[in-house]
Amino acid sequence: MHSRIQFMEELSRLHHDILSMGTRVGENLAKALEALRSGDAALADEARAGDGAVDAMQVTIEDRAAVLIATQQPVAGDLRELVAVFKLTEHLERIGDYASHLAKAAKRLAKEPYPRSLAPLESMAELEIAMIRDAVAAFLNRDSELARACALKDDEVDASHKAFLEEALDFVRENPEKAQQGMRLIRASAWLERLGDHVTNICEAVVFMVEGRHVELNE
Amino acid sequence: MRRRPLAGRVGAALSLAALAGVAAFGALSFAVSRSVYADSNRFALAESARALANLAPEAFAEPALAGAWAARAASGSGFRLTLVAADGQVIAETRADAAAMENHADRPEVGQALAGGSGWSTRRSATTGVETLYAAAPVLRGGSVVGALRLSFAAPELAARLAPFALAFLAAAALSGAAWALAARAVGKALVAPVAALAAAADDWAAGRLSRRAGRAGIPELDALAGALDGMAAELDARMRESESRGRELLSILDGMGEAVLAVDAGLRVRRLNPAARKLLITGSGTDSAGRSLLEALGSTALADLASSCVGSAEPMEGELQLYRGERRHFLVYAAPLGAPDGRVEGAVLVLNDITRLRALEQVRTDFVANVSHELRTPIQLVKGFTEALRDGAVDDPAEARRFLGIVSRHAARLEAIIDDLLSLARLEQANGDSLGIGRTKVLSPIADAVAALDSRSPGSGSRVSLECPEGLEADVNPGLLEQAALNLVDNALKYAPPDTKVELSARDEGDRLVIEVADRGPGIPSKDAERIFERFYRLDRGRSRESGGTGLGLAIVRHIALAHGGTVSVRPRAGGGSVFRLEFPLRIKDEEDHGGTDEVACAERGH
Repeated sequence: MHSRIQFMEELSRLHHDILSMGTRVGENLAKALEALRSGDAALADEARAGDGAVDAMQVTIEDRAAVLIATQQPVAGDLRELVAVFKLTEHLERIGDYASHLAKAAKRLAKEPYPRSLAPLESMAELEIAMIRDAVAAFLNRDSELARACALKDDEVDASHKAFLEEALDFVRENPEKAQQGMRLIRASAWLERLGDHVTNICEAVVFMVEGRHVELNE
Repeated sequence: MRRRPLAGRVGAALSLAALAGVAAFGALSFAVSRSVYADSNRFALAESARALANLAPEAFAEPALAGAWAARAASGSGFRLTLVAADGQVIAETRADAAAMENHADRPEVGQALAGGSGWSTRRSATTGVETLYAAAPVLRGGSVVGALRLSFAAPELAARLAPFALAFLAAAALSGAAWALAARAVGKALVAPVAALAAAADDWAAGRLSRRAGRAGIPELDALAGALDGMAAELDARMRESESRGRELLSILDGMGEAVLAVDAGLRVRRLNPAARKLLITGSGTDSAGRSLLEALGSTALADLASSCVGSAEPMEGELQLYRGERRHFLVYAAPLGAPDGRVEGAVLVLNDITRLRALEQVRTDFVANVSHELRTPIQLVKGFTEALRDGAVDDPAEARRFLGIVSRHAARLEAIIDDLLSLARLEQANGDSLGIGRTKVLSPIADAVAALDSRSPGSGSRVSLECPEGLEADVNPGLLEQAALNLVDNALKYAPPDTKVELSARDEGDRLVIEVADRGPGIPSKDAERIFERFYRLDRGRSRESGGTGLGLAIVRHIALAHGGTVSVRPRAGGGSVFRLEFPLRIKDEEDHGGTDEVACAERGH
């Protein structure tokens, strides 16, 4: 009985750290997005520096989850939850990397403005900030419905990616001398598209944790 | 065990006491009257016996006549009469046959009478078989006892006589007992009722109805208690009202505050927040804000860290952070620990002051100072550099000297242009409607003048501008300022658009607005710069725009001209590439109709 209480306490600390990590990743993406909009290089640097904290959080959380598995030997639901923690932190860490990449692209763009609209890129990032929040909330509240709803939004991300891709390719065709800039933007868009996939993977992990079965939310 | 109410207990005790008293009194008086009655009966019986005994000697003188005498003496009375001879032999008896009766000398009353006294006794009669009262008296003749006369009376008759009295006693006892019980109950209730009323009042107070007053029972001790309780309730009421009104005051202060205020507990969960704070919450799938974690509700790790170290250290904290809600917003945050009375930290109060606008203004100011010094220094450096070169010998080479002097003169002119523009801006900033000299003006002429002025400055440029403006279009404007605004916009467009493209200048009325638009096929303006290009010295591409000879103040002047007329200026991307600058003025300024149009020359003079 005593060890059960201890287990729950440890789990709640873990939850707090996960919320903290998710929030931090979301903030970094928001900073990168803002840097993209405003061309604020200092903010882009801040977003990239924030990724170090995210990586450190991943290590802390995973160590703690590993200790819990080793000492408490959880079974069934508890074990699934701890397994999901590993998946969650891994994907969050990758998402953090993409946010960091976006910040870097924003910094370059500040020096060499792109004459066309970045709106699809911005709306992808905007949407993903909300998706990260929902995915983490779905994990913390063991809400598989929220996870499914969140994964559905990835379609919008993909649509924005496609729209931006066509626009950027058009730009490169018309301005062959700006091909390098075009390529960089296309890559940034692809990062954001991949970022969305990682959020979807978190959602899948949440469904596995709650319902005990593997699902493919990425159609 | 059930507890009986006080009224019942007092009533029951009083009724029992009353009943016991009535019963004791009844029993005693019944016993006394019974014994008095029995005594008087015995006395009467004994006296009657003695009286009859005085007449009895004649019966004894003639024994044959004794029976008849006895019957005569007892006739009409309820007595039984017995005559006993001195030897105890019964000689006459009214209720039985005397001859059949045994010797009565052993009967106590008869014995005493034969001995010369009078006697009495109560016992069951051997003759009649019932409880009987006997009284006997001696019969004397010549001083000697010749026999005894005995009268007797059946005791049941006595009891029958007493029975109505006993019934009356019982009835009286029952009635008075019932009356007592009722009285006791009433007294009990009367005693307890004021206490119950006090209890009800206390219940009301507990339920929050503090204005209620405890009733007065007319019992001094209880009234004193009620008075004390009333005083306490009134005091409590006053304090509650005060603290309620203070709470309301604080709440309305909090609600009216522009700063966001949140209270969090030690676990950093949001407990309370004012409307300004509610606006900062992250919306979406999250449920209710109260009880949500601070991290989740506002999505800021910096804020959570600040709150956590404030709770941890129990010290007030201050910090700056950004929240991202579609745009970046800067906040100055104060965190103060919330202490429990025992000194434990229960949480923290966070006050978030939105300083985004302040930050933007600061940015504009720093940029302006940096820019103005940069813009002024560049020509001065050049003037200084080339004059030094001239002094160091270049003056001796006429061709070189001429070229250098040309540069010096160009940059001096540029400095003058910058200073002129700065002064125009300063004047526009101070201008209000009256000093501006706004009057009814045909719009076509000032904007055509602007195109002409540009053409004269750099010949051929006029043919790149297509002008579209209805002949009769009129508006309340200062024509000199309108000309300058149009000139600056068109000049700007000509500088950035490719040489082979047209710049389209058009004026029209849209409702009550005068709209002037300048459309070009230039490289366009990134949306993030769309607001800032109207700031002083703000340049999209530093090197290039300075080469083109602008002062960096043209668009700032346009904006100030628009503002002075109560209008706006904006830029939007043009379909197919390029930009559209749009000026909007009100067509009519009502207040100006009376006295406008008189001093328009004043400002028009320094138009260019």
